[in-house]
Amino acid sequence: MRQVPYGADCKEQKFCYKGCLRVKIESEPIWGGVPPRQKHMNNRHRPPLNARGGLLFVCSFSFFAGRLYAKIAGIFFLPLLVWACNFAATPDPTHVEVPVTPLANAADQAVPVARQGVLLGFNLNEVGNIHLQVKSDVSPTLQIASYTTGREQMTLLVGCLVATGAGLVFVAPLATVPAAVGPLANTMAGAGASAVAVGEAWSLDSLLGSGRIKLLKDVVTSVDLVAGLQGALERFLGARDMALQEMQGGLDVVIAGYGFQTAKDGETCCFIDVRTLLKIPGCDQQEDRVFLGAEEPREPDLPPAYCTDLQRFLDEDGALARQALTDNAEIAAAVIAQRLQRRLR
Amino acid sequence: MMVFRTTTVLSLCLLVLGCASAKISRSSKEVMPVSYELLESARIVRSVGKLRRLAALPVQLGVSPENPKGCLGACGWVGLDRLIEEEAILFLRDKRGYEVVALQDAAAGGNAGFSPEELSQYARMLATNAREGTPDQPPDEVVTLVRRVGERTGVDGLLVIQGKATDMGLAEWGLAYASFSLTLPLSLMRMGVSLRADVFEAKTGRNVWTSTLSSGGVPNASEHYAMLLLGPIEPAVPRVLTK
Repeated sequence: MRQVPYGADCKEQKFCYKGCLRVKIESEPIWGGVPPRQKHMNNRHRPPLNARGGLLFVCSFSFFAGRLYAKIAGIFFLPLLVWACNFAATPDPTHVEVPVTPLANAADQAVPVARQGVLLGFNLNEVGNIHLQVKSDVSPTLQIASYTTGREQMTLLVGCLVATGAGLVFVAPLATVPAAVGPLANTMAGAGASAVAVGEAWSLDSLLGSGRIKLLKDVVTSVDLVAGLQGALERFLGARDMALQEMQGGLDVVIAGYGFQTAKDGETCCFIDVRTLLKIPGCDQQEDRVFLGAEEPREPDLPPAYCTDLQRFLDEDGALARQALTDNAEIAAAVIAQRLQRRLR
Repeated sequence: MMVFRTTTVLSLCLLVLGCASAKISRSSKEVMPVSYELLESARIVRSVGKLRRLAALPVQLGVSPENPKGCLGACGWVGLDRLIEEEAILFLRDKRGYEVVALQDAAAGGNAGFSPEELSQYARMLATNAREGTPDQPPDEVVTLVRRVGERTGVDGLLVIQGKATDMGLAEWGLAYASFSLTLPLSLMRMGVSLRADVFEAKTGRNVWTSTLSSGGVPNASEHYAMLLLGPIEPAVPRVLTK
């Protein structure tokens, strides 16, 4: 993106603005979808299926074996097994597209209000009436690397280790009992430990992870960002209903992306990508972009993205996630209004 | 016996690994800034985030053992207080959008309107009040102090961080050795860092926000205690919504 001074090629002085900026986006299409994906999220290597099977076999074998040292070795294989199971169950980290809902994807039902020749417009700094149109051409995006945190996985591993070790204290003496009791005890111990490991891995990712995915999807689809952004812009720009004939220009505000994404440090960030296109007769179109998210470098008039643990976003039925999305719309609207104030002088 | 040892080692691993968890123990809804006004048309919900200009007082960190020579090797807490302060300021500024004044630096440079000694005294007083006082009804001397510092530095609130860092001393190592590791679990449980952050409102002197952190293991500069401690704080009101 390159910013160049504006002014020289504007012919009609009525709508010319001194010292304003024209923003050219050179490297990507103007209304192009979601922010660039983060490469690190695609580079994770999963252990192959046969490797996980091998781990399961080794772990089970060591438990089923009669020797005590083999059991203890089995304990140390368990974390590896659980990790492998966890990894296998982790949702695809690259990109989860949320199902499009009529509420969220409103490209063809842009909010502008055309009530019998009446449109929403504003008049900043007496440059003329400008028609305000807010729409969205995307569905919400969730680019979450993992729905369970490293700390949760570590807690699971350590908990599994301690539980298995403690259980072995009671089971191990049975291994010394001859005849049928010993093998039976071994079998039960091995089966129990494997069941615990697999069960915990399943519960962590299937219950916790899928629950979080569902909640986050519900949150992003329940927030009407187009309405939120339009409402905020109306307030900041002082927009009101105007007759179609009175309009002397137009401001298209398009939500080009919003949702949640994992930042480089592993935190989850709420983001919104808004593009604006200001059209004034006789002047070049002015394009601008407001991206609130974990993108560096940040423009000086933008606050830092709100990034925190995914779990914190989802606490209390996703209250913080909802608030972060609506706050982003409010902030984006304020930034758009402030930039317009500077340009339309 | 081998199984017993294995179990003991695993339990100790759990203790040593520890886990750091920060939680907000107090957050007042009614908070008033003094350095700015919110735009009339802005609709943003914030509590402590309204105090977008904060002054950070020196971190009050108690340590154990107090003598650095009492540690086996280098003590993990050496320089930790300054590191926590710097990290807290960076985190609040870069991740949450606050404007933070480092009072220790300002006092050292003679720009704060009070000396470093006075500043230390203020920090101790506020730390004691944060621990033992009533948040909504601070004593008059605290109100006066917070208002005075607030007026001189032009901030909306004061940030006070305090806590304790405990490392394992030579005596504990000796005891563990003499008792064939019998006292080791107790020593490991004692180790760690506990921190508390309080934000005082400059206008009223009230304590409006508190977060606590408890982290096990050897005090370690690379643990980012300040980020964990202040992680739950909400973002500041963006400048674009102020006038």
